[in-house]
Amino acid sequence: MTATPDLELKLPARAENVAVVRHAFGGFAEALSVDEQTLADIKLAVTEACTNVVIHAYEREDIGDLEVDATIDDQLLTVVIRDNGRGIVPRPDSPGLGLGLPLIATLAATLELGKDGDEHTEVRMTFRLDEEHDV
Amino acid sequence: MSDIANEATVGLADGPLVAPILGRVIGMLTARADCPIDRLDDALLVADAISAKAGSFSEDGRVNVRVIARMGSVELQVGPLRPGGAEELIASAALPGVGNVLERVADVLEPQRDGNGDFLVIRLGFDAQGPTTSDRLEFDVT
Repeated sequence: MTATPDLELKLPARAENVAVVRHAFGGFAEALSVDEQTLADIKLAVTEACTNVVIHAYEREDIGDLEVDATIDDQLLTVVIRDNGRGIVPRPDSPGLGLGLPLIATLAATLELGKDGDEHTEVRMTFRLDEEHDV
Repeated sequence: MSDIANEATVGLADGPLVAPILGRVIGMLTARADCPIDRLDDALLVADAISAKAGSFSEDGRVNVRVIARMGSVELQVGPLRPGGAEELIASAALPGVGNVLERVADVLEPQRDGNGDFLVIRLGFDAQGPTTSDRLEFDVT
């Protein structure tokens, strides 16, 4: 059985709402003791994943949902970005540079791409909240 | 055509994350509906009142809020709450010397009930300043 996430957020997958999600994650710093570098990494990775949903998941005239779950277990933050779009497929016409997923993989402790039980596309990443950074 | 400018559904485990995250989401959606600053402040006051008490009156200890931003109003649907929870949430917003915060700032404060439980609908109206910020920000992300 999967525990209910500490945060569940669902919005239309529009560009303006990427900023809403990013801003919401800023709330973690206010509520928890998360150092600035870790928070910056989390916000950047979440922003990249949400931007991928906005750009790639849905046809332009058929905007679907952008869903974000976050769960904190001990000092491990798990973030799941989910959509009900066409899935993660190669796009020869992709407007981006293809840096999003490699960047997330660099910033997160773990990264998994897949589908949930309802065939929704998921990007699942984890972050250590107690990680120490060199200044 | 829908008059909804933007919307969000937020679910939070009751605890320290509720106030900072709920306040941010409500604040951003309200601001982008071109809400004037005095009503934006009221919306954040309502967010704080919900954050402080809604978890105590929900069925599962979670704070669930649907935020609907329209031209000229922002509506918060709080719930599902336990039976009577909407009325209890309103009553909990009374402050000594100030009165009931929700009753003072909301244009609509309406307990509702459906098959999922009780809900409290809170609507704040305002004179939108023109096209929403989100309308002006519509751009090609590609």
